[in-house]
Amino acid sequence: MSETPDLSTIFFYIITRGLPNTLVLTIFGLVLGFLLGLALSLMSVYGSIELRWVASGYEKLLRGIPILILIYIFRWGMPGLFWYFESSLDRGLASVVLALALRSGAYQSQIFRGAILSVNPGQMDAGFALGMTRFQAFRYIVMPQALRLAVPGWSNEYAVVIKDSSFALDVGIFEMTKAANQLTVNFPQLLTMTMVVAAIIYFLFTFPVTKFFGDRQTKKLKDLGMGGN
Amino acid sequence: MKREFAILGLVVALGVGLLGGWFIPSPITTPEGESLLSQIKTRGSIKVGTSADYPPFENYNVTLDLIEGFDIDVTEMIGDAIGVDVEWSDIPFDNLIGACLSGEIDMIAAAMNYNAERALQLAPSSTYFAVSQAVIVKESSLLTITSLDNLTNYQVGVQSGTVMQEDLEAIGMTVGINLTTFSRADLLMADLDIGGIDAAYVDEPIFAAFNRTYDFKIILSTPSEPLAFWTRYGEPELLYEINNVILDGYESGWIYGTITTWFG
Amino acid sequence: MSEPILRLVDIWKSYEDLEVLKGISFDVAEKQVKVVFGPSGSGKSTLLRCINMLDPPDKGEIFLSGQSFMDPSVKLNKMREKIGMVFQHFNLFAHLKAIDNVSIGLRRVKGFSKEEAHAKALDALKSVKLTEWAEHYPAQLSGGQQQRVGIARALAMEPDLILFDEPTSALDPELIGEVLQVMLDIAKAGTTMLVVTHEMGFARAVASEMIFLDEGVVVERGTPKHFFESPKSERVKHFLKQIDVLYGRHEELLEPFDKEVNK
Repeated sequence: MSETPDLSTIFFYIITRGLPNTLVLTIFGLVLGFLLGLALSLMSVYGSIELRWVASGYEKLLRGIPILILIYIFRWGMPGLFWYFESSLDRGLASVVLALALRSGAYQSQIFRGAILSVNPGQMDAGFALGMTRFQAFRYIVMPQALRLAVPGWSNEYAVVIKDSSFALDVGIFEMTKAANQLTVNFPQLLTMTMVVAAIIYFLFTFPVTKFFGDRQTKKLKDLGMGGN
Repeated sequence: MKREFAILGLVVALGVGLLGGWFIPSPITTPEGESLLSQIKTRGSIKVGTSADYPPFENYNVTLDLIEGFDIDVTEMIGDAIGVDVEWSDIPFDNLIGACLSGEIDMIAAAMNYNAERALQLAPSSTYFAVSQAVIVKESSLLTITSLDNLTNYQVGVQSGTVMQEDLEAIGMTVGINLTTFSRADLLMADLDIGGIDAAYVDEPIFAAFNRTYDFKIILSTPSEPLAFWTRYGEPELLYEINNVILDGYESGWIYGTITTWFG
Repeated sequence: MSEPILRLVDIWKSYEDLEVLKGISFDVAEKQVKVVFGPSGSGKSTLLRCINMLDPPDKGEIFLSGQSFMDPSVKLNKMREKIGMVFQHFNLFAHLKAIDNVSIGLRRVKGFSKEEAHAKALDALKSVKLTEWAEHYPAQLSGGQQQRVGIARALAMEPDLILFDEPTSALDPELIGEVLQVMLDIAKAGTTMLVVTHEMGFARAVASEMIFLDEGVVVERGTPKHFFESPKSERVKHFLKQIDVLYGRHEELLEPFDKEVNK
């Protein structure tokens, strides 16, 4: 790339240099957010009034704070947080993953709560009538349906997290947006083109997922008559 | 009653967490007795922060896939002198001071001018390079000024957190009214190019770098405070090493070679 | 005389300020089919939900084969295994095929192996004449078929007693017959059943006793013959007349479904 890079060079540069970190941030953020969201949703559906209050308070708090501020707090405000990571870069990654997970957990909890609640409670009754314990009824009747019902909302959340991962560049992480930025510093005349390519790349990573899991799954759910009974 | 306990518990937990994170001495910053320099030597690397949007001082070369520039070269010499590797952190210019104060990075090498306010927070090294600052406009612009004060009637752009921003604010310009700040130098240049601002006030050397792409010209040059490296107060050993390298650079002359490489 | 399968002693239940059940007591002996009927709001569904403790009663006791539900040492879910329930709105598990709907209780509650549970489930489906539809999902079945799966699901657990909560009330008229036919078959086979319904034809055919519930109280009880020939209370007479007016023609519908006609 000694002269001005062309379209495909830009494309591959952003992907090869930036995609690994983008994916690491997105996957860990989503998975940890899933665990957190599941716990919170169980608390808000099946918990005592105190647990419900905690879950609801957490959600309101995290939905009201911009993700960038969270990242700054974890990175600069609490430098001792990830002391066991040797490399500064790993600590940066961990701070962003934490911020993404905390935020995503708040939104995923809404998704799962809606999914759990939309499973017809009469089915729970049927489960109890068979002699299932609360836990069994949840595990065999509600969970399988709730997970399927959550998929469209979940695919949406994936799109949000992968886009939010670009904030990581502010703490020195070399992900896709940073790669695009560096190209424009080196070749300022390509500012617009680079940004358009970056937009296309993100789109390629989000659209197929939301279309496939979102639309197709919604149709499958309708066919099975699940949810909204 | 249980509800009140829950609220209390949550507030206490949050409070403890925040305060704990704040006050618990970070293992990253110097514990009692051990100097930063010896920590760096034990670790085998010095963590240096910069903002790689500023050629020829610092830039991430996408062709060679490495960080390069005048500041980079001098910092590498410092690393060699101490006997450690350099671990670079590339973050927005604005965040560098905070990162150094919190211990995330040990030193700042980012063409940061010496400045009394900054010296209140971080310890400057001996200055290592003198620059002037320039007001630049598009080649086609008819704007002429005789001093900085003339700029108050126009829309001027600067990089956020720089001495240039302070200078313009000192003559009464206000962000959002006639002053626009940008987190990156290349964004500042792009905005000048499209006419979002009438002029930009930058370090003169970067004008040359960006002028390879754009058509700009300098309409005013002003002297400025020279550049320094920055680290935390209370680390005389580290500062000694840094200053030694700078002095040696000028005494033995290797720094002139570096200057020629990057500034022509 | 041996212990009745089900004994209710003085059941009381209120929702907020409304007293729904006010001191209900009766027995159901083995192989008996008892029909509880009455106007809406009389507490019929509440009564069934009290029996398997989905909504526990405020006062009173429930005995299953002599064992009290109220005994704190008793495990509720173990007791529930012995009581089957068929719901007005079927309550099939939407994510499972018909065969799995029937077998899940056998596998997960009773602990049978996958193969054993599958075989038993198939038998249950056979008795409701739905073996061809075993691999279908509830959404692909008609209301009548879904309810028959619900009955199979209850039967497969081999319970001591099956509760039916208005099993045909949510069905389109032409589908009611197939479900009633299955209920008739299992009643004749000796299943102990407690049925809440206003299908008087069914009651007349197989009920050992009919219990009229109104405003939370047992107003009258007796054999079907008693009710249809000489009911005593005015409320009963009024109710039966209303039923006749609405469903009078139903008894004719029952006949064609004596033959095995699947939808």
